[in-house]
Amino acid sequence: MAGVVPYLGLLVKGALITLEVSALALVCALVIGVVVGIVATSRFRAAQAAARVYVELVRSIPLLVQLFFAYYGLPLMFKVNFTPYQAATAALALYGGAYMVEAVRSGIQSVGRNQWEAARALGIGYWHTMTYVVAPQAIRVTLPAAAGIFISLLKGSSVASIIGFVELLQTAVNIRNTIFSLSPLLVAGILYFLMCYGLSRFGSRVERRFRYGGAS
Amino acid sequence: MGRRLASWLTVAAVVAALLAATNLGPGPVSGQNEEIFAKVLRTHVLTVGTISGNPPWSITKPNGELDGYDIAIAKLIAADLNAKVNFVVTSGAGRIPALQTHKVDIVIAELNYTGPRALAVAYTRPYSNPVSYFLVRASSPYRTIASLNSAQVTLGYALGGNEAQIWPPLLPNAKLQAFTTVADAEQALLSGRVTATGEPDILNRQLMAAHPGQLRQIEQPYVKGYVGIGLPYGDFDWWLWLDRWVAYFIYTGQNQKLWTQYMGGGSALISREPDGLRERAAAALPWGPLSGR
Amino acid sequence: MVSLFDPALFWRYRHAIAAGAAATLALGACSVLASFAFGLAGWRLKTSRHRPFAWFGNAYVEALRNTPDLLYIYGLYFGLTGVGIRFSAFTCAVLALGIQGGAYVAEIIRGAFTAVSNEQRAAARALSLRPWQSLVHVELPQMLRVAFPALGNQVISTLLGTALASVIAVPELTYQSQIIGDSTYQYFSVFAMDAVIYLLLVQILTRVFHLIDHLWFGKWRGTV
Repeated sequence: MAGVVPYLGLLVKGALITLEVSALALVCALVIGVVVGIVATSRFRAAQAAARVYVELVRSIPLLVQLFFAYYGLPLMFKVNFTPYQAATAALALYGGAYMVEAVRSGIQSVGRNQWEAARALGIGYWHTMTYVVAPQAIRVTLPAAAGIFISLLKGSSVASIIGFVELLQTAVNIRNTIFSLSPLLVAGILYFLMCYGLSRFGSRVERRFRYGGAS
Repeated sequence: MGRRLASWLTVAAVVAALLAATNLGPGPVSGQNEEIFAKVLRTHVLTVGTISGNPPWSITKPNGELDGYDIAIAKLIAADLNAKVNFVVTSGAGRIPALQTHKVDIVIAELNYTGPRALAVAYTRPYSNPVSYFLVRASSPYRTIASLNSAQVTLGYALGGNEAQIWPPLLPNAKLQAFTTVADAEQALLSGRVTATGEPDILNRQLMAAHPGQLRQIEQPYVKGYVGIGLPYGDFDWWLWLDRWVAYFIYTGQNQKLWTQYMGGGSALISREPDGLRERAAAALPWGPLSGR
Repeated sequence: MVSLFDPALFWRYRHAIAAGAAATLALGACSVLASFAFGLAGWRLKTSRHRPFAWFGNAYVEALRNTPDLLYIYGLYFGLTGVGIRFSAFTCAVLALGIQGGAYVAEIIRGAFTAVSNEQRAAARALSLRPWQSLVHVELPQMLRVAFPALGNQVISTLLGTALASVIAVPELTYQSQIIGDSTYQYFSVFAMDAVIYLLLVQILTRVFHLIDHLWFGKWRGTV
């Protein structure tokens, strides 16, 4: 058990890499989610359909397969090369993006139609309404969901170890192969737990703050 | 229902169009790679794909530099081209895609010839036939290669090597199990989940030293294949120059000198095999239709 | 030399692909059953009146929801041999996916049961139904109606999780795809096919769940 102590620093570094990759993917997922989410709530049927297909695809294929596709498949198609870090970030961003689309869509739809009509009566255009009226209220619904997505990305980043990306889980496995006890995996589990549980508490606190007696 | 179907059909159409567009362009066998030889001579930079952690072919020294038999060959080639070497380290499975996507000019990374690989990339003549040995647990009853040819035996290997082509003709009754990394395969052997793994002598000795008393090597070598320099298809001049370079490298004895320096003994290219190795080699190297397994 | 997408590849390797799909389904079915078993146990623990049991149930659910699947797969496969237990790769995968899924199933069941109002329970008691009769005939159907969509999603989630079993060499679909890709280097085709098969499985399952939901639980709509 004590054999893991000299490796604790490595494990913490691995946890930081996990956080970094997940945060980067979350930001990209946010961008994707906002863009596709706005498209999905637009009036164009084709756009709605395309958004729906994207979400269905990502939710019907295992993350590992999406990751393999990003690391092995896309380079052959576009003749570019991805490092494991880039492929992991891309796959996680697309994965989180699909869930973000749902979160953004429900956020936008949580703003009642009467607000849209009132804005139109006041002569405020679509984009201004979106930016100054809808977005601040949509964040109330979207932000707690984003915390949940961040947790999924943190857990999902462990899958990137399979394409050779060295993050927390891979670090723990490497240490385990050297010292042959379960303790590195235990420590890694605790680190994951601290990161994710902390985030879920933060998410529920945000959600409580934003909830004040129902939608407007 | 109709809307859903329409949206799926739209996406399918877009994907098909994308695929057609990327396929319509000329494949790697066209004129588009003719520039490699000229490019290297002009820019004085040779980009070499290699792997790491494969002693003594290529390892990473503690100061970050690469060293090994393959690395030494790469440096000699670059010197003859009046170029600097730029090493790109990939995983075992990434060697071929690195060539396919033109990320590197050549791959010198113990690249064994297999039929399917040769469809993807071009090879020079071989510069070595490495041999490997099977490693089993000390407590297991297997002492010869022939004894491993039973349905009870599971052989573990790491994806990216040529074991899936080499082992089935050698041991048709044994089962194969693939792992993501060599470390995983070694762990599977140590924990009794696979019966044997196959690695070069040096690697086996290292593993046996790390776990004294638990592992035993079957002292019968088997020919692992033949190793050549990999390069993309399309630039005939590049292939011609490299192939002639390898021929001269072998002819002058430089190959054997480097081999002895890094491998510690034995011959780089097996021409006179002791005790039936050529028969076993002929039986082991797959020859026939390129059917998958 | 080879084109990007080669359909003839799938015909040549059809046996491996079929075997992989069958193994995925088998692994998925066993893991789903395991997750229900663990989920029920976790729910009973969490709602028990004894404090240590409740704490343990809580700890199980929170721990499993905040740690990744792969950790348990590696831990059960490589780690347990240190203490002398050696489960087969399939068993390890089933156990790992089962305990992960079980945490979510426990939460779903708990949430669904609290949705069944207490008045129903009191009414059942007033009609002199014994507790287990009330459970089976009154509470369970209503709980299932509420929980069904979420449980369906969890089943699909577990099925998608079986892809992770490929790292411990369970010969399911993703493993076979990796093997084929390793020999042919047609990674694009191989993983595209992999994705399409999962897509089909999930879409079929989703339709089936919708159908069951509509047929069985349709008549309960409007109550509770």
